Amino acid sequence: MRSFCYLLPLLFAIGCGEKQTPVISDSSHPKTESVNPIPSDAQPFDDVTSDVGLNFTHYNGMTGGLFLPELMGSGTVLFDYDNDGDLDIYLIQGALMGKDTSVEDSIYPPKAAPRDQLYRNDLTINEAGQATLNFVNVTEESGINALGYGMGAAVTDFNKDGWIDLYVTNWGKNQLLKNNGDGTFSDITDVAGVASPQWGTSAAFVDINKDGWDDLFVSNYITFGYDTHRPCYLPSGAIGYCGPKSGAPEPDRLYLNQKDGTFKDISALSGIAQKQDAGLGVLIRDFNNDLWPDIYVANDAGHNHLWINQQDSTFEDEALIRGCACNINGLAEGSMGVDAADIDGDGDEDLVIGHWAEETNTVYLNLGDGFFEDATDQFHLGNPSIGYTAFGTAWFDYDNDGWLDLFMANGATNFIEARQRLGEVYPLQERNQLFRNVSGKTYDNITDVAGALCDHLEVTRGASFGDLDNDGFSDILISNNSGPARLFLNRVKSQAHWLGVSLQTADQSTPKLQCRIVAELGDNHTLIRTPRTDGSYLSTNDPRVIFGLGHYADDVTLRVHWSDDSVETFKDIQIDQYVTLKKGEGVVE
Amino acid sequence: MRIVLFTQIVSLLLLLGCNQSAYDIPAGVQPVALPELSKLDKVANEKISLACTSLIQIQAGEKELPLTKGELASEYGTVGQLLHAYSFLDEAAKCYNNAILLDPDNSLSWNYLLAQIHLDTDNTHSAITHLKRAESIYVSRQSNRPDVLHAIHYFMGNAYLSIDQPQEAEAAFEKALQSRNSAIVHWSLGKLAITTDPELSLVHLQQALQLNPNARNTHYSLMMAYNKLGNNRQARLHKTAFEQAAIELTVHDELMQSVEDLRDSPAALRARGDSALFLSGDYPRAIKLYTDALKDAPNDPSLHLNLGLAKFRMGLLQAATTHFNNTLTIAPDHSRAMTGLGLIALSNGDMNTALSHLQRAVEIEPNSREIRQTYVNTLLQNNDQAAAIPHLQHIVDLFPADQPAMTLLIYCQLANQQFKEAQHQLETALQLFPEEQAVTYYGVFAYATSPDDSRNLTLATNLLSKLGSDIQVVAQGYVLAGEGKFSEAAASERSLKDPFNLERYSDSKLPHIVNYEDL
Repeated sequence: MRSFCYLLPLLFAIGCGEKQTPVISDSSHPKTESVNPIPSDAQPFDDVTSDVGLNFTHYNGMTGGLFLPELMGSGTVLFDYDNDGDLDIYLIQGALMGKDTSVEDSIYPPKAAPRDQLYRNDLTINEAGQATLNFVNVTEESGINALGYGMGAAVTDFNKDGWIDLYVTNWGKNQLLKNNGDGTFSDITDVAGVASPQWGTSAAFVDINKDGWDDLFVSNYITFGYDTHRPCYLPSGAIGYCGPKSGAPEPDRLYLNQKDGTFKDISALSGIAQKQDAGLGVLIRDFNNDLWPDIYVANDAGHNHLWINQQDSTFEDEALIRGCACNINGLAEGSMGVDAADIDGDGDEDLVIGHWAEETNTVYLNLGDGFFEDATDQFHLGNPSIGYTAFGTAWFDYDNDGWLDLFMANGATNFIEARQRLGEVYPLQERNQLFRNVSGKTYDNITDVAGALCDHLEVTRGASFGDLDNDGFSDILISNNSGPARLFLNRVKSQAHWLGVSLQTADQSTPKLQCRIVAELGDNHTLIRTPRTDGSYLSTNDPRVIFGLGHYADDVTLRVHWSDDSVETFKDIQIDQYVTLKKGEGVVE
Repeated sequence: MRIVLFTQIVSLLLLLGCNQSAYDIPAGVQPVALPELSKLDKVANEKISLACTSLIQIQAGEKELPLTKGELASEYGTVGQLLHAYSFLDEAAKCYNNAILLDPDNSLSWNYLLAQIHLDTDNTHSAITHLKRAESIYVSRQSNRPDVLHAIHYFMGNAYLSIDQPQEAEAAFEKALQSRNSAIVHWSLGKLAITTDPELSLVHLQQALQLNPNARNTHYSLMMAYNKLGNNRQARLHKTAFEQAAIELTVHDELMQSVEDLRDSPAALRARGDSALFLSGDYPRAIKLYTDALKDAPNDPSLHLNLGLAKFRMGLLQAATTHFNNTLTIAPDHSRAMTGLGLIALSNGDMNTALSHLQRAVEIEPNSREIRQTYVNTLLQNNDQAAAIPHLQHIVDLFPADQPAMTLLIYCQLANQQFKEAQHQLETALQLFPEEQAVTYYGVFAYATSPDDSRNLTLATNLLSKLGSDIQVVAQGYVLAGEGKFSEAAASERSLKDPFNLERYSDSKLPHIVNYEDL
């Protein structure tokens, strides 16, 4: 018998301690110096979860049946429910899965009875300006009793009483929780008429008819029931979770605010219900610059929708003709998380959508008129996303250099064989990713130097972006499916200057959203941002805008394009602070 | 110190043990491990285990080395294909890599397949390297497999595109055209040029369209190119064509097809059968794949169900019945199998059995629009409009813009004398579907002939003007009857081939509602 010896050179190589890591570099694009490139040993984000009193673990209720809802995870919510000037946290919980099962059947049993949790931010800032975050779990005293299989949320002051309310979507009936202004909430779902018993995912409040009252858009996923649940198989024949085609897609819902604490279902009359696809991400923006809010819906394995507002409470889906329904090859993709912002500094809103592992994430570049082209490869964001399934996402300027960077919260939907070999029961863990915008021309993958933010191997789903310690740098809150929620505090603390802005109108004490703000920095250099809470995946964001100003150290002129078509200028705004711009107090153009 | 000792041991082993080998093993060859197979079915599990174990035994010296390096390379490559087929990409890549190192001159396939894995795992530069090697071997060995060369260049072009190197991509696509004039490559060249030169893009895309006029991809890119040129009319024409087209362009890839064909475990065959049945509509192929799968998994209800569906769609009702019954024997509450049996019973004219099966299917799967709609259609065939109403209402509640369901609901309500409910539904339907003739026709009836307290002849007359000439004749009769002009109404109907209200009009009664489809 011939012996087998070629193992030996390999052993030798391993014995010498060499570890080969392939490095792919691409020199086709010149790199531009940013204000504050991260030194390789720096940690731009710290995981402060346990230090600040957050102790939430998502319970997906899995009992071995491979039920699709347990795969979806849940969202995260940032909102200032007590109007004290800092962002509080609401975390959405799952529930037990399976017919005739009990909690004891859970593969990962919950530590306590599963329900959504509200954490109050008791931020303190000392005389030296140092912030200390501390979160207090106030779920019990809030009166919130959210026991459904939770998915996502949307926030607004729907009844204009000055307090931010909360709408929670579930696999099953959704809940509208009215903020009573005293730290408690009341469930007014049935009275308000917004139960929407389908499988709700993302939701967004939007004033579709510009009457000053926020209406409600709810995206729905597919039909799912235990009686019809069947095992699903991947192309390889491996058993796994079913996909979005395993049930019938359900139409999204649009509810018109009746200004009396109730809503009217106008899904059919508005046109929204005329299409059915498996909706996951929702985004409100004025994509065609007509000063009316449009609605973008990221659909799983179906064409995405771009509902263009017809200015009469009806909408038409123009995603396909406008080039943002599917990828450059005309293929619908498994779309999950979504965001839109001006990434190349040309003044319009560009889209990013997180996709399934066998697809790339997709960047749709706005050509200026609400028509898009797939520019994923141009920005070098395609290949790095292969092998990752992206959910929560946002364009955000983590280093305040004035260019919007990109975070992708990842977690697989098919079992990863390498994780199975390690004995993982829920082998879907992936690394999150951070990409740095290089002068609006390309993105560098800086995941390897992003520190704690991208170190964990977890099944991340929801992600919220906001400044929790009010230091002018955006932090990130994520939710992990069957894992802990994590808060990553931005530690860049660079030399870069910044300006935080929120908008306010006379008839509304809570932040005004969806109005374009232009920051003029001199030499015709402008930054354009839109305050929003929507986007990402099942989550809500900080309603304030942070302008990263880089080295720019002078006062700033801000121009606000209000939703009633008026434009006001606010001059000589000092930087490195938060300001609130009130409608009517600027110079009308 | 440890490293020195280890080196000495390795050297000793090389001297003592390896000198029996007929050939040297090149550096870089890596041992292959058995992957985690627990999610696969038994057949795949055993097949992969067997193949890998043989290699692992060779690696461990427990089994004799093949006579030549070429044979060992072939063994690695073959196991690599099997692992590749079942998506164990890491181990498959090792196998291919070993095969390449062992027999570089005969490694065209292994380089190509390794490149495919690299393309699937964000190793684009490595993929390009291996595609170039495959191309080089093809040329040096003067191979005559133009489809293989075409695929090499096509994927090379795509790889360059994905790293934003359009010039290199264009060069690769042009080379691909030299081996085969394919729609997919013309489309790729057209797609590539949309941003920079939309006119040139149109030239390539039109060539792609000539080669394959019904490809969705081409129409999509044409839509985008015309958008770029500001030609909205052409853009919208191609948008419509894209929505109607059925074909996705694919490259003929014989090397990857040989990998696909290795995926033949029951679960894999089922997955491939599902693709044939539900995606490509290739029923004979689906039947073959499912039948093969059943040999190793005879008690799988889904296999029986889908086999039944495929045979049902081919009109093989008796065979389909057997498979649906088999499904229910294994899974008694299978709503889809019951639906299948219901449809077959309906085809056989056995209304009672059909209704019984479909009713049960609805009970099991209450939120399935498809099943409920099938049940409704059957109820209506049985002239049981009253029973259909709650089911149609359920569908409309879930899908508030479902025009056929809403129209049928209105019809059933009118047929069941539920005028107020029908008028309520019409308020929405007429707003939603103002051009829909059936809705308008029912609207005329509802407003013209309902009991006095809700009669609205003005509205009925307004709606009448929106109807086409044929059904306008019937609807005219409704308005006239509503006005009490029964003889005029009868006169109106007499022009019909099969008038149905004449006797009622002569008795001065209000007319019947007729299903719009029956007119």
